[in-house]
Amino acid sequence: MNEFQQLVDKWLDGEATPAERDLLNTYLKRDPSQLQNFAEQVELNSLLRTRHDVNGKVVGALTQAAHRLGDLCPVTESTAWRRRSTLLLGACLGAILAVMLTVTGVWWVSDHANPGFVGEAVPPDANSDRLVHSGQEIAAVSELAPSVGRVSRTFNVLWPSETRRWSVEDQLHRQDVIELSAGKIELLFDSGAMVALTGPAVLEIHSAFLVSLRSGTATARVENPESGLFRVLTPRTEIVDLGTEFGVRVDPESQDAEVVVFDGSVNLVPISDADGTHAKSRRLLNGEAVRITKSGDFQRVVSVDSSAYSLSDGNFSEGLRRPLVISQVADDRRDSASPKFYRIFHGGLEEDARAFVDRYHEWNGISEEGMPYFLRGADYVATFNDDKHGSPVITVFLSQPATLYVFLDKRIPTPDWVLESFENTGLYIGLDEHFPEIETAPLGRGPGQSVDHHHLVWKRVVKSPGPVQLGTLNIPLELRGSMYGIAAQPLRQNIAIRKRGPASSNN
Amino acid sequence: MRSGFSNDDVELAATPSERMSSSELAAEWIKTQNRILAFICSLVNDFNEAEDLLQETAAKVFASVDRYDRSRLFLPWAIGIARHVVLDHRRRSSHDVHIFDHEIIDGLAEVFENVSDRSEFARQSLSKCLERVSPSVREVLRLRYEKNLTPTAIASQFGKPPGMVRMLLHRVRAQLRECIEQRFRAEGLQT
Repeated sequence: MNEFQQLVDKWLDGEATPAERDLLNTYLKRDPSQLQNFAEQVELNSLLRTRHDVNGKVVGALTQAAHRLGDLCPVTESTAWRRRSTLLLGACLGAILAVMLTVTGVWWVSDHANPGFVGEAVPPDANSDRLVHSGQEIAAVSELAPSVGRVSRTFNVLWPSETRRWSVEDQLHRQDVIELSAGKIELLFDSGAMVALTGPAVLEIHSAFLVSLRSGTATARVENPESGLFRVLTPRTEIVDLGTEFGVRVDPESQDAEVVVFDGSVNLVPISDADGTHAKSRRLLNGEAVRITKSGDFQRVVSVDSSAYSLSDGNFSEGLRRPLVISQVADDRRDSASPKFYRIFHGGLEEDARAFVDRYHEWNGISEEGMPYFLRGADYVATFNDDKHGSPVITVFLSQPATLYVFLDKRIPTPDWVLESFENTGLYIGLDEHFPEIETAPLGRGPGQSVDHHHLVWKRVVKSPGPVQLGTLNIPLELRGSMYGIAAQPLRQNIAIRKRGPASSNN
Repeated sequence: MRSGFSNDDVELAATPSERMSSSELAAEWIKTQNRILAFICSLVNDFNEAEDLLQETAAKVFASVDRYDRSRLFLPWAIGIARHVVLDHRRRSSHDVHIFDHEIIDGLAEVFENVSDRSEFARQSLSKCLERVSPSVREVLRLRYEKNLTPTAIASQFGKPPGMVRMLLHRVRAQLRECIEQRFRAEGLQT
C-alpha cells in the first residue's frame, strides 16, 4: 500500500493526526487528480456510516433543522407572515414530514431495516407549543410507516391495564412497545428473527434487526444470519446475534442482564459508561451463560431453567405440568472465564430430547417401545459431553423427594460412586449422536431410530429435598464414551397421592 | 471557478415565484444529503462532528430557503452552505482550527457538487454488496461505523493488533468499492 493510500485510510478510520492531515493535503495539492479518488473513498465511508446511523442523525437532520428553525418555515421577514407563521408551521412541518415519509420510506426499508434503526422521525420537544402539530404528524408517520414484523403466536397472555393488547397477525412497527404481565407472545420479524417474550416483560421495537428488552425474558432465534445481525439492547449490554438461539433476562430491579446461548454464538458489547469508555466486548458460545452486572462484570450462570426461556417452538405453549424437581445445578470447577451452564429441562425428558448442552445428540428409547416408562416426563439436566474425560463434581438440588437417575455409557467402566449409592435398573436409554459437520450422520426421529450408543440407567431414591452430590467421570482418552446424563422424577408416592392413593413399594 | 455558495449569494433573496416550497426543499435535501455529508466528511474526519455539522447545515439551508434561487442547482448551493458551516465551526473551535488548504476544499466541493445518479445507485448497491460480507467482518464494520470506534479500539476489543483491523477495513472498503463498480458496469453506467 502506498503512503497516499495509508493516509487516506487513516483519514477514513478517524485516526489521522494533524501532521498526517497536512501530509494528505500536500499529496492532494501535488496531484489534484487524486481528489476524485479521495472523494470516492470518503463517500463510501460516509455511506457506510449512514447505513449504521442508529441515532438517526443523518436521516433526522432535516426534521431536526425544521424543529430548530420552526418559525423559519417558510422564512420571511414580513410581519404579517410572522403573525401567521405559528398557524402555518403545522402545515409546513407536515409537508416536510410527508416528503420524509415518501422519500425515506424506501430508505428505511432498503437501508435501515438492516442494520440499526432510525431514531424518532421528529424528536419530541415538550417545550414548544408548535410541536403539537408535528406531534400529530409523528403519529401519522408512525401509522403509515412500514411494518417490521408481526405477532405470530400468543399464549395465556395477561396485559397490564392501559396498554395495547396485541393479537396474532398484528403488524409491528418501529417504536412499538409490547408489555405483558404474564404469558407468552411470539414475534416474527422481517429480518428472519423470531423472538418469544415471556411475561412479565417490556420490549421496545426499533427495527426488524433491533429491539430493546427493558425487563423480563426473551428468547431469540435467527434463522438466516447472512441477511443481517439481529441485536437486543438491554440496560447493561448489547447482544449481537451471530447466527444462533439465545435467551436474555433483564432484572426489573437491578437491570442486570442474564444472557444464555442455546445454539451458535453471540457478541456481548457492554453499554458505554457515562464517561464514554468502552468496556471490552465478549463472545459467548453455545452452552455458555453470563450475568452482566452494573459494574460491567461477567459472572457465570451455572444452571439455566429451560422453562424460563420460551423457545419459539417446542415448549412455547407448554407450562410446567407439575412442581419442578431439579431446581438448580452447580459444580466445583468453573468460573466466569468458562461460563458454561447446565440446562435444566423441567418435565422435558422425552424422545429426541437434547442430551448435552455442547452437542446436538439426543436421548431416545433404544427400541420402538421407547425410553423406560419411569423416565418419561422427568426433569433432566443437559450436561457437557466435553466433561467426559474429567468431569467436575456436580451437585443437583432437589426441591422435593425424588428418584434421581444417572445414565452411564455402557462402553465405560462404572465409577465407584455410582456402584456405591445407585441401583442398577437394568434398562437402557439410547443416545442418538449427531455431528452437523458430517452430513451422513443425521438425527433420527422418535424411539429406536438412529441410536448410536446405549446408556445404562441407574437410580437412587432421595427422600429429603436438598443437594445431592454426584461423583466425577474420567473416561480414559483411549476409550470412547459420552458424559453421563441426569434426570429426576418426583417420588412415586407423591404422584400416587394425587392420582392413585397410597405409595408404591418402590419408595 | 466554483459555482457554489458565497456569502453574497445568501443575501440575494429569491422572488416569490422562484422560491422553493418547504416540501420541495425537503425532497431536494433528502436526495442530496448523502453527498453533503460526504463532503463534510472529507473535511472533518470524525463522524459525530460531521453529523453535527450536517444538522447545522440543514438548519442553515432551511433558514436560507427564501434566498434560494430555484433556477440554480440545489446541491452546489447546499454544499456551499456546508463549506461555510465547516469553516465557521473550525474558526470557532478551540482546538485544531486547521483544515485542508482552500484550493483543496474548493476542489473537493467541485467533485461532490458533480450531480449524478451514482450516489443513489451506489447506496442501493452498497446494500447488496454488504450481503456478501461475513458476519464477523460485519461486526467489525458495525463497531467502526455504528459505534464510531477507531481500529485501535476495535482491535483492543478483539485482542488483535490494530494493524490487522486497519488492513481488514482497508480490504473490505476496497472490495465494496469494486463490488459497487461491478454493479455500475453491469447496469451500463459510467464508472
